[in-house]
Amino acid sequence: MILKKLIPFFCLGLLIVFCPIYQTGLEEKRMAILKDSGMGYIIPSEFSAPASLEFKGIISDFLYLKMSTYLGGKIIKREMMDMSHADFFYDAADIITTLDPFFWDAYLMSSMVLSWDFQRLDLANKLLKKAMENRTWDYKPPYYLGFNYHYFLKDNANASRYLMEAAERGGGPSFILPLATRLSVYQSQLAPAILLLEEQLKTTRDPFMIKHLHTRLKAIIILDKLEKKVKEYKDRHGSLPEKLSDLKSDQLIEDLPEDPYGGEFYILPNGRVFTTSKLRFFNPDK
Amino acid sequence: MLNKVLSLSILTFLEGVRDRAIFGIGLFALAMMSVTLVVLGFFMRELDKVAVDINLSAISLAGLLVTFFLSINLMAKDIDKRTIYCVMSKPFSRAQYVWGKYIGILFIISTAFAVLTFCSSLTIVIAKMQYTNWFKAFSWIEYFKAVYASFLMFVVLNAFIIFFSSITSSSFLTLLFSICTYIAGQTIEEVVIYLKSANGQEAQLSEFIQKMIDILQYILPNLSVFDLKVQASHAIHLPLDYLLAITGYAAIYSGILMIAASLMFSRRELP
Repeated sequence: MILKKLIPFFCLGLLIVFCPIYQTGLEEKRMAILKDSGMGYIIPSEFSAPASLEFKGIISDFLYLKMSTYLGGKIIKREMMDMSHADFFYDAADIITTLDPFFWDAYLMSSMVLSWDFQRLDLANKLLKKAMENRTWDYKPPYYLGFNYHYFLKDNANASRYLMEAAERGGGPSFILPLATRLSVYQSQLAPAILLLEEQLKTTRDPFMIKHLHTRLKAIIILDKLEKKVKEYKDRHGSLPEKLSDLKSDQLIEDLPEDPYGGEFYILPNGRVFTTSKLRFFNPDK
Repeated sequence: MLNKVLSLSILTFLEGVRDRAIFGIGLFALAMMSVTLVVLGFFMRELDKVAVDINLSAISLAGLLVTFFLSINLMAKDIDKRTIYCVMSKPFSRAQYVWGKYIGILFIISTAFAVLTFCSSLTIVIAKMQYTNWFKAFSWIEYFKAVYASFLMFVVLNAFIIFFSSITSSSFLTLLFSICTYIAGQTIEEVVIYLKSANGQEAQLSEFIQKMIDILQYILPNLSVFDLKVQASHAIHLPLDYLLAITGYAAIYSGILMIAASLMFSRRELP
């Protein structure tokens, strides 16, 4: 009789013990499925915008969170990303900013990833131009556009035009206007990058993004320092050093710095310094 | 006459407040608001935007649940379950009954909005204290404007519920029509904008469908005009005349519906 009464409790106990074990197995299977399914699907904004009814803002927040978590996961695991990921980031950002056209975080994160990690300046600038049209009061979209034209596309005429626009909108750092006016004769291309990354670090809270920006800033500061030393070497000897170790033998640097991205620094024929890692963990050429 | 309408509306209000569903809806909205404080930690810069989005959405969602699960019960179920005869045996005209129900429902919605706005404001104050530097752009005025606009949307939507209740005998049909009106009202603006855009022109819809959409945009309520959440979340200033315009729109639309509902209900044969 007592045994009969105990059976349900015994079954319950057994299931409680068995459930977490089973769940662990299920989670492994689920992760395998998620890994295989890649980035998932994107619902076009023509459908997702009306379907969001009056909840466009909160849905854009949710999609943004999904996008940043996906990127954060890739950064932490140092997983390779290919060009299909660039399209994913662009499409996702386009939908998020159609739902909420003023959402700066979405514009910024996706345009940064597209320009720095995938070199897809066409997509990054398209998003920034969309931001510029919608955030008419904000200096940041033309400022970042100006930077992209200057740093990545070496188009100082357009860079100066956008930086002027940023200065006109007001509210930005004081160096924008002098930078815009001096751009056509600006010698170092790395100084604006350092300023921009420092500015971004000041206004970023996300730990993944902070880590990402710190690594990039560290690498660019090293590049800037090495380029200055190469110039010093040229002034001293009248010719460029053949390799960076020449700077060490000339006692211009103590040791060859390590690339935070794991690559090796080298001198380009025009005296600029670059790295084999191309300043990214990802492989957009795949 | 006004006394009769008022006493009926107070009765409706008390009946609605006694419904246990309202506590469940309130708890759900409060849980959603408290989630704000946890979720904010995952975002980079625009924490004020996210906090406003979540809180305004929670208010709207709670309003929708009250409308679809409570308001419908208050009139449509009265007819559905024949409890309306108890009220009709008293010295009330049918038009007074309809207006009394509507004003009573508006009392419930107003009370729900007042409680939820207070709670959401409290959540934002706490979030603001927690992340002071990330709430610099936040504007209380724009936030309350969005809450007011959302309330106006429910004034119109509940007028629809009364209207549908007065022409159908089934509470399920009232619910179905009301949900359809809400979805169509929220999307009609975007459909029209899309069709007028370059992409929409390429869609090459038949002339009949184009005409149907042209007619529908004047028949269906444009509920998107009451959605100011995105503007509030970015503290974008909205002129006072816009608020006046949507107040007028809500008043005219619900006025038409309520007069039509009173006329139809007065002439209708009850089951």
